[in-house]
Amino acid sequence: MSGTVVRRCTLAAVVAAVAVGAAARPMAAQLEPTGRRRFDAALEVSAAEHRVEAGEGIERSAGALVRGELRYALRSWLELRGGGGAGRLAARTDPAADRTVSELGVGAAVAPLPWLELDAGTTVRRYASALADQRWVRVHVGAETRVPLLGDGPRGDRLLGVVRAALLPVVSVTGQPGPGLALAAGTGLEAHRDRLSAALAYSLERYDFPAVLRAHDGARVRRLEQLSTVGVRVGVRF
Amino acid sequence: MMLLVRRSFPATRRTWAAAARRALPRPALRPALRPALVVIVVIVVACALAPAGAAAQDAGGPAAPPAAPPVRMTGAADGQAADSGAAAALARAVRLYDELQVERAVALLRQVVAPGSVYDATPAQRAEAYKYMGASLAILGARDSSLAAFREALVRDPFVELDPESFTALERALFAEARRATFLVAARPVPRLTLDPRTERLPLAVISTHQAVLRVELRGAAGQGAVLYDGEGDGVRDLAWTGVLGDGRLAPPGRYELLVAGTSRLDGRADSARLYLDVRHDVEPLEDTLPALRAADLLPERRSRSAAVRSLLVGVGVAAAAFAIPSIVANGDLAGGGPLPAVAAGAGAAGGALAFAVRVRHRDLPQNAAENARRRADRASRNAAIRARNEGRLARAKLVIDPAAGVGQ
Repeated sequence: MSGTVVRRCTLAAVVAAVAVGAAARPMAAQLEPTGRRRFDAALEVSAAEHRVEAGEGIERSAGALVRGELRYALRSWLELRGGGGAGRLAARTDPAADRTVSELGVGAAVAPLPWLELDAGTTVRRYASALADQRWVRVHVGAETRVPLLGDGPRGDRLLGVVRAALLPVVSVTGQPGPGLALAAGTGLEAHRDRLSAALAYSLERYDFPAVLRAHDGARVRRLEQLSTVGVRVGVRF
Repeated sequence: MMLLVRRSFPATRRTWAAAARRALPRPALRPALRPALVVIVVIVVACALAPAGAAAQDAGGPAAPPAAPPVRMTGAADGQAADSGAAAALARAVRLYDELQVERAVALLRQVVAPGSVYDATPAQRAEAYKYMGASLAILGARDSSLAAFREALVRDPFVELDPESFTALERALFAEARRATFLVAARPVPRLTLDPRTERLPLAVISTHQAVLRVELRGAAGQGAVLYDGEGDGVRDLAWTGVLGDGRLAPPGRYELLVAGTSRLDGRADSARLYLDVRHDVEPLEDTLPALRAADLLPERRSRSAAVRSLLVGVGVAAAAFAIPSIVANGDLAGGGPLPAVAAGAGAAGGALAFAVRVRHRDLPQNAAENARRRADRASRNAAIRARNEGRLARAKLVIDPAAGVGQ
C-alpha cells in the first residue's frame, strides 16, 4: 500500500468521522436525553508483545503494561479522554533489547448512535532502552462499535461485544521517517454493573515504515513494527 | 225589528255582544230572535248577496272571488298569509261577523273553506273560518250547521277556543257541545329553543276536546323515554319537560316522538297525536381519550428465542474478530499476532455462550413489564381525567330542541 493512497484514505476517514459525528449529534442527544455529566476512571493491566523487523530478523519483546485513563462526558454524546501508562518489555529474541514504554494521550469521542462511537486523539509514546530512546507522536481517528450480548438498554447490567478500528494518519518517530501505513484494531468484551465496569480487550498496532538505505551496507531495509496487547481493564463511574 | 234592535247598539259585533250580555239576557231573547233571524237569512241571501253567494252555497260549485278588495288582516287570521287572498277574505268575514252581517259572513266563509276554492286557505285559516262560520250559524239559529262547522274547526285545530269576550254564550254553548261530540287529542307545536336543563323547562301544551284519560309520553328512537303525564284530561293541559328521561339522565341527542294518547270518558273513543322533536346537545367540545397502546408503544416483556442466538453470534463474532485482526491487520512479515488473540477469542466465545445460556433460561423481562404497566396506568389515569372533564362539560350541556317534520294525528 503506497503512502499516497494511505494519506488519501486517512484524509477521507477524518472527513467522514467529523461529518458523521456532527450530523449524528442530535440523534444521539435524543437517544440519551439526560445528558448528565459523568466522570470515569479506569485502570488497565495488559500483556504486551512488541515485534520489530528492521532487516536483522524479527525482534520480539514482551512484558506487562499498566495504563490509567480518565474520561469526562461533557454531553451525552461527547466525551473527553486522557491517560497515560508505562511498562517494561523484556527481550525474547537475540537482536532485541529490554526496553521500557511510557505514554501519555488525550482525545475526544462522540457517540452518534448508541452502538457507535467515533474518536480521535493524539498520543506521545517513548521507548527507552540501553541503546537508545525513541519518541513517537501519533494522531489517530477511529471508530468503535458495541453490540450487546446481555442487557438491552443503554444503562443497567449489560455485557457488550466491542470491535474497534483506527487509522493513524500522523505518526512521527525520532530518527526515522514516519510510517507509510499505520493502523490499529481491537476487539473484546465489556461488562457494566451499576457504576463499575470491566473489560477484556485485545488490540494490535501496525506500523509499516518506508524502505531506507542502511548506512553500513547500502541495502534497502524496510522497517516494520507491531505492538499487540491483551489486557483487563476495570473502571468506575463517578 | 231585529235589525233595528241591533242597530241601536254599538256598531261592532264584539261591543254589541258585550252590551247584549249586560243589557239583554240572551236566553230571554232566543225564542223571539229565531224566526226573525230566519227571515233575515232568507232576505239577505235572496236579495243582497245572491250574486256572490249563490255559487258558494252549493258546495260542489266553484267559489266566486270576493267583491271587495283584499284588506290587510290584523285580527285572528294567519299572520303568515296576511297579504294572501284567503287572509283578506277571512279578515273581511270577521269584520262582517263583528258588524252582525252574519249572513254575508257565512257566505264569504263558505267560499274560503270550499274545496277547490280560489283562496287556497291554510289549515289554520280553515279552522278559523269554520269557527266563525259556526258562530255565525249559531246566531242564525242553524244549530246543526253550527255544530257541524264547529266540529270541522276542531278537527282542523283542536286548540280552537271561543273567547268569552268576543262570543256569546249561545255560541260558546254550541261550541262546547261540538267539543263533546268530537273527540280529539293534540299537542301544540314546539318552537325552536335552547334549554338549560338545570334551570329551564320545555313548555308543552296538549289538549283533549273533552274529558278523557290522557297519557303524554316522550319516546326516543332507541326506546328510551319519559312519561310526561298520565291521568285525566279535559281541555288544554300545560306540561313542562325537564330534558331528563325516565332513567334520570339527560336526553341523548336524537329524534323524539311526543305521543299524546287519549280515551274519551264520554263515549270510549280513542285518539292519538304525535309530534316529533329533534334534540341536540349544545356542549363545549369534548376531548378525545388517548388511543389504546399499540404494540410499538410497549416494550417486549419476554425475549424471543432469536435473542439468545443473536447473543451467541455476537460472542462468536468477537472471537472471530480476535483471530481475524492478526491475519488482516498485521503485517505477514511479522508472523502474525502471537498467542494474545487466543485470549480475546476465548473470552468472546465464553461470553457468547454465557449470554446464550442466560437468555435461554431467563426470557422474561420484568423491567419491561413494569415499564409497560406504568405506561398503561398512566394512560388509564389520563383517560379517567379526560372522561371526568368531559362529564363536567356534558353536565353543563344545553338542549337545542327543533321541531321536526312528521307531525301527525
